Amino acid sequence: MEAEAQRLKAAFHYTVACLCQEVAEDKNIQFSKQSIAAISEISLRQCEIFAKDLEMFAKHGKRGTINVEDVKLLARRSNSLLKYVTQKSDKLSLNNLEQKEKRKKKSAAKKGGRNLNELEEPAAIENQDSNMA
Amino acid sequence: MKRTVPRSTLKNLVKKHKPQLRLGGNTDLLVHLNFLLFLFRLAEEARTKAMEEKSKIIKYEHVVSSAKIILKKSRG
Repeated sequence: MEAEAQRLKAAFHYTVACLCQEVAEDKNIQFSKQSIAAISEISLRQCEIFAKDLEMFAKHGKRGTINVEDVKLLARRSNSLLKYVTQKSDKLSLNNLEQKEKRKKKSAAKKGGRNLNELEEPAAIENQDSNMA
Repeated sequence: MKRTVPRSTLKNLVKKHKPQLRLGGNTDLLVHLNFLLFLFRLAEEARTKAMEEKSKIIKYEHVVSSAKIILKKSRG
Protein backbone atom coordinates (compact mmCIF):
# COMPACT_ATOMS: atom_id res chain seq x y z
CA MET A 1 0.00 0.00 0.00
CA GLU A 2 2.80 2.34 0.97
CA ALA A 3 4.79 1.51 -2.17
CA GLU A 4 1.72 2.12 -4.31
CA ALA A 5 1.18 5.55 -2.78
CA GLN A 6 4.82 6.32 -3.37
CA ARG A 7 4.49 5.28 -7.03
CA LEU A 8 1.40 7.41 -7.46
CA LYS A 9 3.21 10.37 -5.95
CA ALA A 10 6.15 9.87 -8.29
CA ALA A 11 3.88 9.63 -11.34
CA PHE A 12 2.11 12.80 -10.22
CA HIS A 13 5.37 14.58 -9.74
CA TYR A 14 6.55 13.58 -13.21
CA THR A 15 3.36 14.82 -14.89
CA VAL A 16 3.45 18.08 -12.96
CA ALA A 17 7.07 18.59 -14.01
CA CYS A 18 6.13 18.06 -17.67
CA LEU A 19 3.27 20.56 -17.42
CA CYS A 20 5.48 23.08 -15.62
CA GLN A 21 8.08 22.69 -18.35
CA GLU A 22 5.43 23.56 -20.94
CA VAL A 23 4.37 26.66 -19.03
CA ALA A 24 7.99 27.68 -18.47
CA GLU A 25 8.70 27.51 -22.20
CA ASP A 26 5.52 29.40 -22.97
CA LYS A 27 6.13 32.23 -20.48
CA ASN A 28 9.93 32.29 -20.62
CA ILE A 29 10.37 31.67 -16.90
CA GLN A 30 11.88 28.93 -14.79
CA PHE A 31 10.39 26.78 -12.03
CA SER A 32 12.61 25.80 -9.14
CA LYS A 33 12.58 22.14 -8.13
CA GLN A 34 10.98 22.98 -4.80
CA SER A 35 8.13 24.86 -6.43
CA ILE A 36 7.39 21.90 -8.73
CA ALA A 37 7.41 19.56 -5.73
CA ALA A 38 5.08 21.91 -3.87
CA ILE A 39 2.67 22.06 -6.83
CA SER A 40 2.60 18.28 -7.13
CA GLU A 41 1.95 17.92 -3.39
CA ILE A 42 -0.86 20.49 -3.55
CA SER A 43 -2.49 18.85 -6.54
CA LEU A 44 -2.34 15.46 -4.87
CA ARG A 45 -4.10 16.84 -1.79
CA GLN A 46 -6.67 18.54 -4.03
CA CYS A 47 -7.30 15.21 -5.75
CA GLU A 48 -8.24 13.70 -2.40
CA ILE A 49 -10.84 16.42 -1.97
CA PHE A 50 -12.06 15.91 -5.53
CA ALA A 51 -12.44 12.18 -4.99
CA LYS A 52 -14.48 12.69 -1.83
CA ASP A 53 -16.68 15.32 -3.50
CA LEU A 54 -17.30 13.15 -6.57
CA GLU A 55 -18.20 10.22 -4.34
CA MET A 56 -20.71 12.42 -2.50
CA PHE A 57 -22.23 13.72 -5.74
CA ALA A 58 -22.71 10.21 -7.11
CA LYS A 59 -24.18 9.09 -3.80
CA HIS A 60 -26.55 12.06 -3.85
CA GLY A 61 -27.69 10.99 -7.31
CA LYS A 62 -28.26 7.45 -5.89
CA ARG A 63 -25.57 6.09 -8.17
CA GLY A 64 -22.55 3.89 -7.63
CA THR A 65 -20.69 5.29 -10.62
CA ILE A 66 -19.36 8.80 -11.11
CA ASN A 67 -20.36 10.32 -14.46
CA VAL A 68 -19.75 13.49 -16.45
CA GLU A 69 -22.50 15.41 -14.65
CA ASP A 70 -20.74 14.89 -11.33
CA VAL A 71 -17.52 16.25 -12.75
CA LYS A 72 -19.36 19.28 -14.10
CA LEU A 73 -20.86 19.82 -10.66
CA LEU A 74 -17.37 19.68 -9.20
CA ALA A 75 -16.27 22.48 -11.54
CA ARG A 76 -19.27 24.72 -10.90
CA ARG A 77 -17.51 27.14 -8.53
CA SER A 78 -15.43 28.78 -11.21
CA ASN A 79 -17.41 29.99 -14.21
CA SER A 80 -14.56 29.75 -16.69
CA LEU A 81 -13.61 26.29 -15.47
CA LEU A 82 -17.21 25.15 -15.79
CA LYS A 83 -17.33 26.44 -19.36
CA TYR A 84 -14.12 24.65 -20.22
CA VAL A 85 -15.23 21.36 -18.69
CA THR A 86 -18.59 21.56 -20.44
CA GLN A 87 -16.88 22.14 -23.77
CA LYS A 88 -14.62 19.15 -23.23
CA SER A 89 -17.48 16.88 -22.20
CA ASP A 90 -19.47 17.93 -25.28
CA LYS A 91 -16.50 17.06 -27.45
CA LEU A 92 -16.17 13.69 -25.75
CA SER A 93 -19.83 12.81 -26.17
CA LEU A 94 -19.69 13.85 -29.84
CA ASN A 95 -16.66 11.61 -30.33
CA ASN A 96 -18.46 8.73 -28.67
CA LEU A 97 -21.48 9.18 -30.95
CA GLU A 98 -19.25 9.16 -34.03
CA GLN A 99 -17.53 5.99 -32.90
CA LYS A 100 -20.85 4.30 -32.29
CA GLU A 101 -22.08 5.21 -35.75
CA LYS A 102 -18.91 3.89 -37.32
CA ARG A 103 -19.38 0.65 -35.48
CA LYS A 104 -22.98 0.45 -36.63
CA LYS A 105 -21.95 0.98 -40.23
CA LYS A 106 -19.28 -1.67 -39.90
CA SER A 107 -21.62 -4.25 -38.46
CA ALA A 108 -24.22 -3.39 -41.11
CA ALA A 109 -21.60 -3.87 -43.84
CA LYS A 110 -20.69 -7.24 -42.40
CA LYS A 111 -24.30 -8.36 -42.25
CA GLY A 112 -25.13 -7.08 -45.72
CA GLY A 113 -22.50 -9.33 -47.29
CA ARG A 114 -19.26 -8.36 -48.90
CA ASN A 115 -20.53 -8.68 -52.50
CA LEU A 116 -23.10 -5.93 -52.29
CA ASN A 117 -20.93 -3.16 -50.85
CA GLU A 118 -17.46 -3.77 -52.07
CA LEU A 119 -17.08 -0.05 -52.55
CA GLU A 120 -17.56 0.58 -48.86
CA GLU A 121 -15.12 -2.03 -47.75
CA PRO A 122 -11.90 0.03 -47.90
CA ALA A 123 -13.56 2.68 -45.80
CA ALA A 124 -14.56 0.06 -43.25
CA ILE A 125 -10.99 -1.18 -43.06
CA GLU A 126 -9.77 2.36 -42.54
CA ASN A 127 -12.25 2.77 -39.73
CA GLN A 128 -10.95 -0.36 -38.13
CA ASP A 129 -7.43 0.98 -38.33
CA SER A 130 -8.38 4.27 -36.72
CA ASN A 131 -10.21 2.40 -33.97
CA MET A 132 -7.18 0.30 -33.28
CA ALA A 133 -4.92 3.30 -33.06
CA MET B 1 -30.00 38.70 19.97
CA LYS B 2 -33.46 38.00 18.72
CA ARG B 3 -34.20 34.28 18.80
CA THR B 4 -36.99 34.06 16.25
CA VAL B 5 -36.34 32.91 12.70
CA PRO B 6 -37.84 35.02 9.88
CA ARG B 7 -39.13 31.95 8.09
CA SER B 8 -41.53 33.62 5.69
CA THR B 9 -38.93 36.23 4.76
CA LEU B 10 -36.45 33.47 3.94
CA LYS B 11 -39.03 31.61 1.88
CA ASN B 12 -39.94 34.78 0.02
CA LEU B 13 -36.29 35.49 -0.74
CA VAL B 14 -35.78 32.03 -2.19
CA LYS B 15 -39.01 32.41 -4.15
CA LYS B 16 -37.85 35.72 -5.54
CA HIS B 17 -34.63 34.25 -6.89
CA LYS B 18 -36.02 30.90 -8.09
CA PRO B 19 -39.78 31.06 -8.57
CA GLN B 20 -40.01 27.42 -9.68
CA LEU B 21 -38.06 26.06 -6.72
CA ARG B 22 -39.97 24.50 -3.84
CA LEU B 23 -38.56 24.23 -0.33
CA GLY B 24 -39.31 20.98 1.43
CA GLY B 25 -39.90 20.38 5.12
CA ASN B 26 -37.92 22.57 7.46
CA THR B 27 -35.27 23.44 4.89
CA ASP B 28 -35.68 27.16 5.56
CA LEU B 29 -34.36 26.60 9.08
CA LEU B 30 -31.21 25.04 7.66
CA VAL B 31 -30.92 27.97 5.25
CA HIS B 32 -31.11 30.28 8.24
CA LEU B 33 -28.42 28.30 10.04
CA ASN B 34 -26.21 28.60 6.98
CA PHE B 35 -26.84 32.31 6.88
CA LEU B 36 -25.93 32.74 10.54
CA LEU B 37 -22.69 30.83 10.04
CA PHE B 38 -21.93 32.99 7.03
CA LEU B 39 -22.45 36.16 9.09
CA PHE B 40 -20.20 34.73 11.79
CA ARG B 41 -17.40 34.06 9.32
CA LEU B 42 -17.84 37.49 7.76
CA ALA B 43 -17.64 39.18 11.17
CA GLU B 44 -14.51 37.23 12.08
CA GLU B 45 -12.81 38.08 8.81
CA ALA B 46 -13.72 41.77 9.01
CA ARG B 47 -12.43 41.93 12.59
CA THR B 48 -9.06 40.40 11.62
CA LYS B 49 -8.86 42.81 8.69
CA ALA B 50 -9.48 45.77 11.00
CA MET B 51 -6.92 44.49 13.51
CA GLU B 52 -4.33 44.07 10.76
CA GLU B 53 -4.72 47.72 9.89
CA LYS B 54 -4.57 48.65 13.60
CA SER B 55 -8.03 50.15 13.40
CA LYS B 56 -10.25 49.80 16.45
CA ILE B 57 -13.40 50.11 14.39
CA ILE B 58 -14.58 47.86 11.58
CA LYS B 59 -14.90 50.15 8.60
CA TYR B 60 -16.65 49.95 5.26
CA GLU B 61 -13.57 48.83 3.32
CA HIS B 62 -12.82 46.04 5.81
CA VAL B 63 -16.29 44.64 5.34
CA VAL B 64 -16.14 44.93 1.55
CA SER B 65 -12.79 43.18 1.20
CA SER B 66 -13.74 40.41 3.64
CA ALA B 67 -17.14 40.00 1.96
CA LYS B 68 -15.33 39.30 -1.28
CA ILE B 69 -13.31 36.52 0.37
CA ILE B 70 -16.11 34.99 2.42
CA LEU B 71 -18.62 35.03 -0.45
CA LYS B 72 -16.13 33.13 -2.55
CA LYS B 73 -15.51 30.63 0.24
CA SER B 74 -19.24 30.11 0.77
CA ARG B 75 -19.95 29.05 -2.80
CA GLY B 76 -21.58 25.65 -2.68
